[in-house]
Amino acid sequence: MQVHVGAPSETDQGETGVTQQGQEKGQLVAALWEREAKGLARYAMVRTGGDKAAAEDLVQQSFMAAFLQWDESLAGLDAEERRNWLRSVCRRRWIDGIRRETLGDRLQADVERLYDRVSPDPAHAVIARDDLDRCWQVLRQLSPRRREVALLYFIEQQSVLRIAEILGIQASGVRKHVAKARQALREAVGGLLDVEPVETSTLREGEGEQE
Amino acid sequence: MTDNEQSRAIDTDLLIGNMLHQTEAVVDIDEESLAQRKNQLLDWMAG
Repeated sequence: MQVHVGAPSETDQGETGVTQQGQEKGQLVAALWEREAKGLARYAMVRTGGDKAAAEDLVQQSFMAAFLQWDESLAGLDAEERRNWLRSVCRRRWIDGIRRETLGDRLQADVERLYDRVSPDPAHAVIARDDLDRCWQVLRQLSPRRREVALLYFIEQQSVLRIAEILGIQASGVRKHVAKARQALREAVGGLLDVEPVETSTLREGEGEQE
Repeated sequence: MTDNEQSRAIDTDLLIGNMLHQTEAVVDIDEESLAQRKNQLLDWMAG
């Protein structure tokens, strides 16, 4: 996937102006960068499959949004809530990047819904670093399309039909990508997934939308 | 497929999702490049 989010533009710069209030806000955002940028970069790297430039674009754009929306969105939040806010913006921009490539604007409602999603709790199950290393290698080696399907299905918990809409492909293609991604992960970290193979009939198909 | 099997399959998907989420912990980032990005952001915020 290629995410086109780019660096700050001349137009954007012109809109911000230089005021004392702007300077104070800039200091707050700079402090937030120190706390959150590395973590957000890792978050973005997973979404982009290791595309450093695209991940850094997502990070930079997320902090630009923080600057522009500080008063109305971030001023009253605590540190954890600000982290979640940044990740939500980053996630939305990542999905926007996919959507621009494939669909147009008709999924805006879904994107807005994703904006409010809470990330899976990392403490739910602690996984050994070696297994995570193998998992990361598998993720990087997947084709861009298969990786997008895997991330949307397993992390974002989207249904098969919704992913098919987002990516503009057949539902059968989504099922195939999910099965292949699961198989690759099972081969890499099989001990963690030591359960019976999953039949395609158990996939999240979407509400009342069986194909 | 029985309810038990289906429940286990769903649990597997959640486990995979959690595992993919946790891969953040092992991703290498380029701190120098990130610092350059910060400087760009600071410049932009300063107008």
